[in-house]
Amino acid sequence: MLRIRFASYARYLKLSDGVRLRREHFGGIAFETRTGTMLELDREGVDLLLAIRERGVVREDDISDDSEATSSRRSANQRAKVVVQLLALGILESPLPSDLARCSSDGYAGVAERPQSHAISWSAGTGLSAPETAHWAITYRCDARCPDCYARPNSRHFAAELDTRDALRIVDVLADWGVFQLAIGGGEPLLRRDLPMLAEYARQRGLVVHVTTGHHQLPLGMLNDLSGGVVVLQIGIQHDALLQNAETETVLLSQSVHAAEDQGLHVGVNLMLSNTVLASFERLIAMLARAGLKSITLLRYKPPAEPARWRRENPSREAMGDLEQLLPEVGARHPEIAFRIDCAASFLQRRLPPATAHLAGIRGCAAANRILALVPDGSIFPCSQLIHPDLRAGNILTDDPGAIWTDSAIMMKYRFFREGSNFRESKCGVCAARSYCGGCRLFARDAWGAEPECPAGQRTQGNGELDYEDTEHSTRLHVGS
Amino acid sequence: MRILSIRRGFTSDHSSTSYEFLAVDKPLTREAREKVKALSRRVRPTRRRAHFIYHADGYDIPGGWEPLMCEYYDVMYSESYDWWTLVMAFDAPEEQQEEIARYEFYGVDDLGVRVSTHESRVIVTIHCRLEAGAVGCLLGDNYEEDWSEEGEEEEGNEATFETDDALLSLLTEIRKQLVNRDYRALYAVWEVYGCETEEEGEDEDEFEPPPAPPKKRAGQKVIDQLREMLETP
Repeated sequence: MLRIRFASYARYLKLSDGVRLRREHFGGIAFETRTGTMLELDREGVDLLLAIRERGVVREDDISDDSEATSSRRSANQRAKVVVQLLALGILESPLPSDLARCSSDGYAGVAERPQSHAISWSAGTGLSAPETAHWAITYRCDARCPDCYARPNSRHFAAELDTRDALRIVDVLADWGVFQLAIGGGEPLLRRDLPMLAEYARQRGLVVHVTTGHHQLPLGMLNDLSGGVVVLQIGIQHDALLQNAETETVLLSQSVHAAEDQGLHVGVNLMLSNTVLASFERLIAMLARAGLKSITLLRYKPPAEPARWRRENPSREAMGDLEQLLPEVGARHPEIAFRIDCAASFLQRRLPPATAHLAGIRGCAAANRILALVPDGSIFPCSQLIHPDLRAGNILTDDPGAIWTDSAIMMKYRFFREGSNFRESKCGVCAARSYCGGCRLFARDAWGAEPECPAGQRTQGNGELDYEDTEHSTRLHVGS
Repeated sequence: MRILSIRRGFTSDHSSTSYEFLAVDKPLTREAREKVKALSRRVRPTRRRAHFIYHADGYDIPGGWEPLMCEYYDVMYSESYDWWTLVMAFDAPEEQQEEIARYEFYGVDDLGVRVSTHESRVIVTIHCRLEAGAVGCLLGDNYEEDWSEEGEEEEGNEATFETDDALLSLLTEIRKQLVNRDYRALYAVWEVYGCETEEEGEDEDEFEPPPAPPKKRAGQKVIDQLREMLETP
């Protein structure tokens, strides 16, 4: 058990103001709300942060362990190194002695109080106690008719929207549960007039709010309204418009990006990897770079309403292989841009050494694991790509979300898909990257088997990865189409 | 106490993966360089060196680095997310391959030594973290100069090529020791990353520490330098 001793020298430590902590069975999560950085720590690490939070401000060498007498110098060195990392990541801060009085007056306990050891009960289990992020399609209404929209078919089953009062209740449930981030999408969420107020309330409740819009042009007034609560604004790129009216759309995007940044928002874009996008990938990235984007999330192409379009635009395994070759070149050409990869395309990260992938927090499919999806009426699903009446796990306003999260058969099935025999016996199940990839369940044959579009080659890779030849390229969707 | 994972958030901060290869024993032929060049449009292999860098998360050399060490290069280092991979390859008889294999271990955080063999070729890989100060001191080389036409000419056919990249030089020295059946460097890695596994009693029944090599003065500076570089867990 961790305790705090009293000594007379060394630097002071305090938990940074924006950090939220959540205990988990393996230790816990520290979430930096100002940067979105998320750390998983072992039990001792979380213990340390909880103790520092409890004390307010501590001196570094006042931190010791009950087993200190028997622990090696190595443990002390390791703890010191972790503290250095936590300081570098902004999880901890080191106030100057002259700031200590101010810290105390701001509500921190200061260094003079007696320590209180805290009894710790670690939860059992193998899953998180709550999602890290809730994806909420707050409305399925939309003022655009994007041909590649995957959400439109969902409105057939879940069109009903909650009023503001119930929407606020959802925010309360998520905040009380310990969820860190709320990603609001749609439909077009900007059609909800109460969006700024909901976002602001969510922020007050400690949630980091992301909003995804399909609008390239965002009026200043709207951005100003959103800035009270929204931290990250994600723009879904309408690639057809961008390719057809390159100059005009790039200027519009650029204006929106700069105006949003002026309002203090972090701005990124989602680019859907359709065949049309892949055919003009370099050109599109260059346009987005010109518009000032520094964060581009590459989303896997999901089935739209029209089956014919799906057949035409869904990239083959070969096309994904071409992208795999091209992306490093594009990344080198635009080092200012952070490319993020949708977990549905996590096979693009399969070459990472396992230790590296795990340290970077890459875990592949996040459905019912790190995320949970909500539709406009509050119904719960494992993932925003898995919206179908058959996959509804409950409703966040009428059911116990914690019980659904831990006990629902649907949630369990997706969370532990790697344990199913269909997966284990599939090509993904024997891949060296299975623990941090595993493919997307939306695309997998019969939902639980191998990922058909993984561009892995036809020979054993030198890095130990077991590649495979997948002769069946057709994608069969098991729900929603 | 450990940080198990770090996921960067919405701030635009991202990492890269880079490789530095060196051919010590013999330079690459034009044909071999063409084959290396075919792996990436941005790599410009000289007769002795090749440098790869990937900026997109999850990207790496097609086919991995190991085939390059089997075919063309003798030492290599790579950095990804602050994790370092130090590699030395050489030909060895079967008896020596078995000797080296005894130094293989998976230590804390999967840091440690791996040994793989491909017919007569042995590839020894040290997975480690390096002290920040050591990294700064070691990486002072200007590879672009190495790429110049003059560099091409300078990179002759002599059997013992020397580079001004300090980390590649260190690995070249360690490789020499390994070729001469001196395994102190691998033992030093075990002392840093392997001991804790033993102390904690993990896999007690199966764990067999590598044999302690005989101590000697010659070459100790190389071992000390390696040990100082390794960040202790």
